[in-house]
Amino acid sequence: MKPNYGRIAGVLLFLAAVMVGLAWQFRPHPPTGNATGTGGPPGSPAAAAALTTLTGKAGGEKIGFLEDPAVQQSLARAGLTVVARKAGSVEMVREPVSGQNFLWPASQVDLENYQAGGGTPAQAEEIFQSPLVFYSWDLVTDALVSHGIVEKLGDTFYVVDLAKLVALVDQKAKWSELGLTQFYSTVLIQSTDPARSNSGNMWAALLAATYNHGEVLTPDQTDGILPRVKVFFDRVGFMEASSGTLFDKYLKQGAGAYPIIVAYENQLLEFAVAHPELIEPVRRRLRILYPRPTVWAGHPLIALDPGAKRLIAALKDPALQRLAWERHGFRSGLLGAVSTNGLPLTGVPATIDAVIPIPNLAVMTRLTTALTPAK
Amino acid sequence: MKNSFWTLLVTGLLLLTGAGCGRETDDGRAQGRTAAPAVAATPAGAVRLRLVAGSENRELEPLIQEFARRQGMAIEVVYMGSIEIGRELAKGKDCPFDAVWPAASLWIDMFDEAKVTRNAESIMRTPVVFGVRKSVARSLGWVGADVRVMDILQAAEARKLRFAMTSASQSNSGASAYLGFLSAFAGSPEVLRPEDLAREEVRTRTQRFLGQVDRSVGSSGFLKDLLLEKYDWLDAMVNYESMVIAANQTLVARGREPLYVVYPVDGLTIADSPLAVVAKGDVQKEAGVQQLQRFLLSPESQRRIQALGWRTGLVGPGAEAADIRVFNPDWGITPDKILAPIRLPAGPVIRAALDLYQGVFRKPCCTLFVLDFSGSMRGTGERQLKEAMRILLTPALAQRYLLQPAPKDVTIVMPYSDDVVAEWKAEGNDPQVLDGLLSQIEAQNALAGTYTHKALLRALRTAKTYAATGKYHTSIVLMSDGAATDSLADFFRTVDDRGIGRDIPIYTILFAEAKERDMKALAEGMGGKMFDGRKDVAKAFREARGYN
Repeated sequence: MKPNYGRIAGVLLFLAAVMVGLAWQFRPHPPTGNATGTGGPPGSPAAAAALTTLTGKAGGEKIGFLEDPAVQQSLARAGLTVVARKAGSVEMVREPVSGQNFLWPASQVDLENYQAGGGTPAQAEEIFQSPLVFYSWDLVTDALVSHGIVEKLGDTFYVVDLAKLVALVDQKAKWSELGLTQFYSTVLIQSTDPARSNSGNMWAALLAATYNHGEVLTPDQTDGILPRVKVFFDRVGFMEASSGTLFDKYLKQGAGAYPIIVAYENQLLEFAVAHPELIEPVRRRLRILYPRPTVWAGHPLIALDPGAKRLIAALKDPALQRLAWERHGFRSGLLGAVSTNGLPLTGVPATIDAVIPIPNLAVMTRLTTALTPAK
Repeated sequence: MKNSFWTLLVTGLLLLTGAGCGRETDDGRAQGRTAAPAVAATPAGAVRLRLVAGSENRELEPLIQEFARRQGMAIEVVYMGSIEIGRELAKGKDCPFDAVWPAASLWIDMFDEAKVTRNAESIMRTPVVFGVRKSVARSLGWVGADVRVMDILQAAEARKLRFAMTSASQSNSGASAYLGFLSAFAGSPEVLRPEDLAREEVRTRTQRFLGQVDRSVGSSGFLKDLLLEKYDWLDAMVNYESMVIAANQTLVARGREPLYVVYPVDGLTIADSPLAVVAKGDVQKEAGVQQLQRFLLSPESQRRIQALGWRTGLVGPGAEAADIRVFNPDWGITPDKILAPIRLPAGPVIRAALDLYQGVFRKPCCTLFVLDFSGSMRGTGERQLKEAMRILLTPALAQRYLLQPAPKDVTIVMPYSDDVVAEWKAEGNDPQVLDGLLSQIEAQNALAGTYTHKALLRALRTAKTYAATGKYHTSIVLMSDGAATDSLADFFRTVDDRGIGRDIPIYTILFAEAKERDMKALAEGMGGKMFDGRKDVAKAFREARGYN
């Protein structure tokens, strides 16, 4: 037994993480292999001199947006260069913020958590809205439709009976009982780790509401519902820390490994825009299922110092908000209903009308704590 | 087991970061194929990348070098087992590589505690399968049928199937398959839990299964080569579908019977080959790795990787439209069928399972250490050799390097010079017993001549008696400077003439003024491998142990 070695190692690991965090910067877009054809990155030497650099952390789901040369150009026009490191939303608001100008987590809960931890933002504002959705596969969706869990209204697939789907999970039903004989496993819904990542965390809130007959969990109801939520997540096994990683695995490993996952609506939209050559298999095989009701991720930008307030203003530019929707699938909280014409995918609704709020911070903290594995 | 070897290992590596930093690969074939030509052709100031990749990715090296040439970069690829790669990652920002490419993302998740990896992208997929000689698969009724792990256990216990796999404590394919077995033997719970590992029937069945493994080796690539070489003694291997495809292409070319791919329905796992940036603050290198990712994920590269037997593409596990000469239905390969893997358990359960593998479940090892105490070893060689044995026989050190013997392991030490001068034996892992053995070694001094092959013949005799019981993975580790007095050719002749056989592998570890040529020929001739004990003793031992 050498417990102090462990402590030394912990400190070293922590220091390493901090140093790497400080050192990490976005790659400049290389001159070759830039498929978008939007021209070089902003920042000729003359322009670079005039730009203010803002450093911060952003949830993985917004990295594609921040790396987009068109977005960088728009920010450069506002006099900004943004250097963001990918970080889990739940984790980033708990970690030390020194050296950062901003944090850009995925939801309001993360902002509240930051404030509850003593953080005092110079300004904080919701920039985008994206609903939590399920991603599934053609044959899995067909099975869910035939069991009345999913309904196709117009071109959109809605999970009309989430309680029934969750009940199937709780009863340990097998996919084969739903007619999917090639599947060996029980029905489970895979998500990111609710203790580390926002999408998993929000899913825990939606799941809790489902157990609570569709009502937002209040503090006095929490004790009754928590154990059921915990059992649900315990059964999933390994969970990713990032929604981007989970989505990548869902796409590449297929229906047998990831029959249903929980993620953000923008992820498939962004993928489809980036890969026009794959639009046929994407349309044929992948399905977005919209839970009714769902929960919103509001993507609040937390300016840690007065200088970072300029970033909030720049991100609210209507042209940039439109670009965020059309190329990266983030709905604008500012522009009202979006246009779905011109999207590469069908079945994306123009509005998300059934949304329930996330429980208050006290409830969410208890939920997250209960779902954090003991070390 | 609170203080598991994982904790100790990570701690140890942080404290001893020097050990193994910047070392070369162990594998002779790789050394000649690292980026030397690209370096020569690359202008000064070009981006230089060091990658560490799983041994199964070796066949993609030409693709990587093509990219390097095109971009004017210098890329060096070092090949290691996925768990070894995990250990490199555990060094955090001291990891001496710019990118890691293990066989499965599981190892990044488990070892990257300092979170130095960024932008992991799965480049290709392949399931871990049983490749079974087709006539054997047919006689077992496995062609076109659903096969469960229990069916495989029963066939092996009935001696209808002789198979090899990689060690679960060394290689991803072995570890993944092992997790699949555990899941199946636990009755296919939706995910393996700590209490499943404690259940008696799970333990017994797993131990029975691992007891049937005829040969356990350290890497998937080496396993494929071994099967091709020993196809008369082995019927099957647990390996990646891609490795079975590669083996079959060679077998068919040689006019031999191909392997038939069995996807164990209740114990399937998928290797997802993630390539990730190791972020250490060098923006140029990080951009270089991301460019490499984009290149490997381009439609053209994906097509070429698929032609080598991997499942590729960005939507679904790919290969539906694959070339049937590669994804050949006659070999049991079913690219159009859904791959339904087991769910991987949470990190702590995987750690506990691997601890159990190393300490309890795996088939016991009988390892004979044949130690050169000839005159030429006096001084440096003797010191290096004793230092090596100290690591092995001091429990705290051995555990740190994942070398600790299990309770049923047998360790035999034979010092020799003109002849074997003693035969010391230690059974199990009692620290006092091991310490006694170490004292005997420490007290031994260098003597005169170097009758290496005479000593090895004696070691083979002893090894045979252990191997004959069927209870041990038996192997011989020769530690020497390679300057033998007696002839290697005579040794091989004696082995073959007397019908001793070459089924017990001999691993060689070089010391002092190492004379490599004979040591390499000896290891390769006896189905083993040569290691350099002067560079990293712990690694040489770990591999020699893992390869047995």
